[in-house]
Amino acid sequence: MFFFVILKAMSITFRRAFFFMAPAVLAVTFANAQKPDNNIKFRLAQSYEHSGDFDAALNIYGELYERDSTSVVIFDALRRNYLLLKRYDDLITLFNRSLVRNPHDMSVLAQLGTFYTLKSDDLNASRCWERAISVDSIHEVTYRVVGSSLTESRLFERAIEIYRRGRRACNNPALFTMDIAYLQSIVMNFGEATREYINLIRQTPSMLSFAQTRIASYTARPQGLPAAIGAVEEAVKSEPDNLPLIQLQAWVYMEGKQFDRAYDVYKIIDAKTNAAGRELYNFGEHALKEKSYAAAARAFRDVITIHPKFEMLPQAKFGYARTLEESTATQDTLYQFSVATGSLRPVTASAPMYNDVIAAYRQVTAEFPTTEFAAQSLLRIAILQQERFFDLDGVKSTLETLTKTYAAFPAITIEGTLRFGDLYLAKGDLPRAEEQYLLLNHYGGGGDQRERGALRLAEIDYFKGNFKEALKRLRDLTRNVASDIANDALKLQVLIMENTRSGDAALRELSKAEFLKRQMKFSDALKAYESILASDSTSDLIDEVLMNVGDIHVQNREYAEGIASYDKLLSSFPESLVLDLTLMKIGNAYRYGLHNVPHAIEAYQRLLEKFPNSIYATVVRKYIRELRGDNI
Amino acid sequence: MKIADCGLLSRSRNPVRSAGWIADLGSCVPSGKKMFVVVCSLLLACISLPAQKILVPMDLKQTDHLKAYGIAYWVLVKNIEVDWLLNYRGGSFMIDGLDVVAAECRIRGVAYEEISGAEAAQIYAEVQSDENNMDAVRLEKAPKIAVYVPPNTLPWDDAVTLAMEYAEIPYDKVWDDAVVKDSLLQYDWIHLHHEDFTGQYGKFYAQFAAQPWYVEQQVMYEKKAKELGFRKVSEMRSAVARKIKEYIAAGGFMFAMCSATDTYDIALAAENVDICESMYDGDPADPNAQKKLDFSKCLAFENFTIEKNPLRYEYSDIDIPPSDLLGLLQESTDYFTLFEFSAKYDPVPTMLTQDHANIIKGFIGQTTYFKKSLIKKNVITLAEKEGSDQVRYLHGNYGRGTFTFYSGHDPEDYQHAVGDPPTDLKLHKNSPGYRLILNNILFPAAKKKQQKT
Repeated sequence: MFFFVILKAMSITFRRAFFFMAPAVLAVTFANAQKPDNNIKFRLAQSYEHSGDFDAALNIYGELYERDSTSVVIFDALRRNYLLLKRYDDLITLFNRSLVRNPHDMSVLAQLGTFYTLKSDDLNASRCWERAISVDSIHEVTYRVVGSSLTESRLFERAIEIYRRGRRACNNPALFTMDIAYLQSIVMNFGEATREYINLIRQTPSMLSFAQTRIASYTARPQGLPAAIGAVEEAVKSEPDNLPLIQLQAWVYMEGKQFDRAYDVYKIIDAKTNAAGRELYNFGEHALKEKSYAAAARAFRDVITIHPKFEMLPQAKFGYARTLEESTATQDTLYQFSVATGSLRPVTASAPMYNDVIAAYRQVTAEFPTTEFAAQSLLRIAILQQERFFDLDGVKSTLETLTKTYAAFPAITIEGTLRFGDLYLAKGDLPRAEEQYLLLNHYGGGGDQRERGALRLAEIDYFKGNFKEALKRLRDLTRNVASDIANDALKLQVLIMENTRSGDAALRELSKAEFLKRQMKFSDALKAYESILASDSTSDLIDEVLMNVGDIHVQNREYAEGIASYDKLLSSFPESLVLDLTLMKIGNAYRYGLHNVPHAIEAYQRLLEKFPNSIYATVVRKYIRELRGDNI
Repeated sequence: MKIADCGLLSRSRNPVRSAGWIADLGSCVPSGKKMFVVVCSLLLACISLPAQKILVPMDLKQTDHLKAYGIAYWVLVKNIEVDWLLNYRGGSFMIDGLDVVAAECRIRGVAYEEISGAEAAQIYAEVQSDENNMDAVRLEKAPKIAVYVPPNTLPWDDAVTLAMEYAEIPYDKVWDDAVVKDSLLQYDWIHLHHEDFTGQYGKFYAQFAAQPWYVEQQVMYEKKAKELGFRKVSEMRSAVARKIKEYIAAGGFMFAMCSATDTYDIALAAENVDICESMYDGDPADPNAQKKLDFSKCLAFENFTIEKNPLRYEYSDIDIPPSDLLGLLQESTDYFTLFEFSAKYDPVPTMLTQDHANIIKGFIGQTTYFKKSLIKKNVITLAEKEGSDQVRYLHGNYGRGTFTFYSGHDPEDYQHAVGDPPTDLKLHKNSPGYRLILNNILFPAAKKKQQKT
């Protein structure tokens, strides 16, 4: 009644306006009344979802979506639950509805493509992505959205294709470089990946290190390195002046340990960066460490000749000499033989091979006197003279210079002093040798040299026949079993202790013969040993004597005589403690000296048969398998 | 004349009891008649037989237990028969006394003893006596071995291939193509590498998703799945698991270690159920996956609960990871015990548990211990951690074949992490844990016996 009274009181205009507004006001009022209901339903759906009842949740979310299809929250809840229940058709319908409202939503189109992929409908998936691209086909973001969608669907090759298309469409070849490089590497197209990283370096040279890190992730793969090298070479060929690319080329060669090729590139880098030899020197050091002597020698030589004012010239010249020495040792077959047979006898015949090495070291001492490198060079010369060609006068002269002139480098001169002792020992001058070994105690540091000196002092006592003094020194040395000389000390200790119980006459004779052997007076030593054999063939030391006789023959390359002596030891002294070693030596003489493989194997087999627990068993097993050609 | 040729020591021509296969485990009953035969043979051997045998002891006298298995295999390859003396001095091997065998033992550093025919007969008598829980099983054919291993190099090592390489036992590598195309049937024995049959790439996602090896692995597996006509890697893996099951049913022997054990059964139970989250296969896991698991399809486990968290380095509650033991699992106290079986009635479990030690130090893997309550009733427990519900080693039959599961990753590296260097078996020549692996390799070589009617 009241409503009609008021209505009647209104003007016609106002009355019209009222009738026009009323439905809207009523709708808002109704909607406001519904909101709490929607909220409650939404929370109910959420709780269904959390409890795992996804179907019930979906029903409510669907209902809510029908009421309000603009709600992002409800749309996302539907998407999530359809996806979870793999209801791809519903999912696609949902997204298509969204597209009706906004047909140019690139993100929705890209996602729709992903859902079609999940449904294994590749055709429609492609259509969606194409539609997404057509929305804005000349902007980077379009291709990024579609590319990401393809990557998410693990369609890497197609993603690469889209990114490349994006580059063309946007007329920007620098676009998506990192994305494409990464995708190429994960699909194992290592050559293409490298090309992309090369592009990255072209765009931003400071990214060289980053690119190297990424390329390094596949250079260890069998196909990775050749592909990377190929791509880099191709790039450098087309841009020979691009320094970062050249640096990448040098690096990739080093990754493949292709030092010769790397060096050629380092020469270019050195020239282009005005490094004045530093790049070459660094390369030389690296190659020397990697035992690539030819490349290292080239590098050091070039530093010396091309850059005579190089700030680290002494180091370069010393490096060159070291490289020559190492390289010559690998070609010195006589030395290699001695190493293989365990008979480290200096060979004067080797001397000419080392002329260049000695000359290189002498150049360092002449050009950079009083430097540490000169001291080191002198020490290396002395070692070669002593160990490789037994030039005792040469050693003496070199060591005299070293110890007198280079006292400022005690770490080097202490080794010189030890070798001085060795020199006098080899010359048979025991008092002077003793004097040098005792001098070692006056140096600070040099624990290793002091221990070796102490062992030599014990040996001197042994050679002199002062067995008690020798044993006293050896007792101290054998306490430290971790030391390098402990085994040698123990061996001598056992020899003396076992052969002095009932008189020491025989041991005195043996020590004299061994002293001769130490001086490399092999024919005199042989006579001395043979005299022991002739005078007392029942002595406990005869097996030791026969072993030494065999060793001298083998060192003289008289293998048949050596083997005969070893055989005699085996047959005459079945209780000897050195039978296993003797069998190994017979095997070695056959293997390395006479090159008689069957006999070598037979000797090794006998060792295993008779002395399965010998300390030589492991190495002998390895020898047999090497000789049999086993693939182990 | 060799003792094995004299024809007096057994029912047939040889002195040993045959393997007594799965179906005939109960048929190897010693008899009074056999005792008589043994005594006769002993007497005969003492009187006239000059023949010799080589005994490869497997007790503490053995210098290299692992290479000893290689010797047994090498001998079989040369068509020389080997008798495996179960429970005799740690499960020793008796071989004809040929010089080549002795020489090979010496070269490989395997301790052996040359014994006379009479001594051999005495040993056989002791082994076959009813009073001793021992028996002799004749090995007569070198089994053809396959290892299921991915073609790419992964940053961890497999204990079985390490053991076979060290023991010099040859094997072929097979991968999904071979399995799907039924190439497994040409092999007697297959070892499952530390694979994940659920298609979740070892569940390394949380830690290693960005590592090149992980990314490469995922791409490679996806490519392979597509090549073989599968939509997802998990589907391919499930098909591979089913093919292996068919192989076992047809008489094959399967041995799995570490995560290949539980993931294998999970994959069987989850046939046609998506248990992989989106980072593994592009779509979410089925929310009702747990309810849809069919445990009847599993070989060894039942009623387990799968681990739904895709970022947790666990597949299910089958495994008892060290983290669940709240610090109680420590290297110094982690040991498991081998069960003892009747050699004459249960030769197969006996073969699998031959060792020179009964208590073996534990080792962790992605799958470390199996939960006892989730193991099917018909599965035999071979080793467990005493006083706990933690099982380490189990065995069962399926169809005409068998399967053996051994948890943990590397018996000589307590906690072998991704990227760790491989174990150098030269330093573990007498490893009791590694012996269990090699028992498995030799056991298919055992002679199959006719079933008694």
